[in-house]
Amino acid sequence: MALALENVRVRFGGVDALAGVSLRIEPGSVVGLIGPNGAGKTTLVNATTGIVPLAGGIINVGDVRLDGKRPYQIARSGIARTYQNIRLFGALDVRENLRAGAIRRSDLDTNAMFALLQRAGMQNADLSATASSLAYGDQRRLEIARALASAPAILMLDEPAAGMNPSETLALAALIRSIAEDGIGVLLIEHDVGLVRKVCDRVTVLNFGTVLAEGTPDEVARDPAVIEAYLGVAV
Amino acid sequence: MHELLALFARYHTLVDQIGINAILALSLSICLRAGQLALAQSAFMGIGAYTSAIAVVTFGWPLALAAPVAVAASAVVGALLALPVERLRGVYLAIATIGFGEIVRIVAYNVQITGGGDGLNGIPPLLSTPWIYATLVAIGIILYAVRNSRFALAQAITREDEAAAGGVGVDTGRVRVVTLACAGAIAGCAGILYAFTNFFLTPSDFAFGRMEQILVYCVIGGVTSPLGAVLGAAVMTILPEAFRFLQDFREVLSGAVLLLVIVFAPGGIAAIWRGLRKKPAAQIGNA
Repeated sequence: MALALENVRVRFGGVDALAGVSLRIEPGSVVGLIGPNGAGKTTLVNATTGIVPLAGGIINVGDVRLDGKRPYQIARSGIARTYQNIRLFGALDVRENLRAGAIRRSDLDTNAMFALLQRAGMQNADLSATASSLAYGDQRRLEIARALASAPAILMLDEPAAGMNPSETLALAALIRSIAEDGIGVLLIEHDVGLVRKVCDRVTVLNFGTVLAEGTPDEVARDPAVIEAYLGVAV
Repeated sequence: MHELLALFARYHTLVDQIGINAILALSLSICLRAGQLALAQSAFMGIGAYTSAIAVVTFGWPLALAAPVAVAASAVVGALLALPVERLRGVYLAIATIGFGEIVRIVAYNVQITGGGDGLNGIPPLLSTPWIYATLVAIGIILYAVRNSRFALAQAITREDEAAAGGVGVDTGRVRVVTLACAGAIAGCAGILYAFTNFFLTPSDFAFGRMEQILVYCVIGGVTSPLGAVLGAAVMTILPEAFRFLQDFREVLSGAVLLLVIVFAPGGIAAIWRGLRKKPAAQIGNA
């Protein structure tokens, strides 16, 4: 199922956090969402997942309208996400976090849990370890595994490479591609432009809540408006 | 055997109190498990007690009919209470639910059918200690059986992070409604047992002081542990009786125990037990 945002608007007080953004994520594709801090990237994910209300626009996943629905209804429509600031169920163990991801499906058995964790890059995972006791990178990986446990149609990753070293980022890139190969549409918010260029089929650039550019990673990288937004102009 | 019966005859009121208090502590424990600091157990207890007692004494219903109706009434009131307080969390939820408890008590004071401040007399002694402990065991078995259920998991993740719980598809509003309904039903059971083992009800039986005690049981026992709550209720019911020779100062002793637990073992008896088993304690979360 494709995720389609049409002319989505979000207002915080008098500020247009999103001023008419349109975006489409096809099944099996990876769409990068980049832009300077405050451009509206996380707001777009929050609007899609029902955390913040829309001031206008339409969001569909397949034939199902998502705008106006509550977060749990949107999650049940097949949208899973991770958070910029990790939001695991910290006092619960790894097993319970994965069960939580699959809470709307049949219960995961231990083999399925290990398979999810290995896929997310946690090779020697302890299911009984408390989530908050994990190393930072493993917390990020567990959050991705929890999202995958829901068998989503669309996965939205909000800065998954934050705090990861180059080899971990490389493994993350392979994971994201493999998720897309399974037919899941992925939205990737990321500041690591190298990772974005490596894994994304299309890239959308946001600036001040509007779409500044859209295209393949190479097209976007050559766009003068994007270069200006990121680097500024010579005076 | 004779000595045991003599001992029971001497302390059966205390034994009954322990059982009823343990049931009330379980009622609050399931709220805390969902991160809901909802302090309406004494009100739910009062609704269960008055509904069953009025049905039997005033309308002549058999207890076998009055009891399920009273449990259902407490559960429905619990579910309905969850709706207006849906957006309240933590201390605000606590204050709102304490306020609800006061409303129930004041209504009981001011309506004729409850006997008002004079109380409701003549409740037949239809229940006794075995009923109290059979109910406690039955509730304990049910809670144990569902400890790994999806609903128990939904409660735990609602407590941990409500936004993230919504993000995995959990309707946290529904979790709160069902939790308060269950809490109402359990406390309603305690009310029925209280009414038919004490023969007499007054609104002050269900005042904030009782709610305060129930909260203390859970803090001493461990805020998210049902077994801890039961142990907390047992310890804190026995303690004032065991130190009766201190007269008015025995309340100070209870306060001192509470302070010691909060300072040195904030997770209560359950955390001490988990520590011995080297398993980390769950936290109260956003309650």
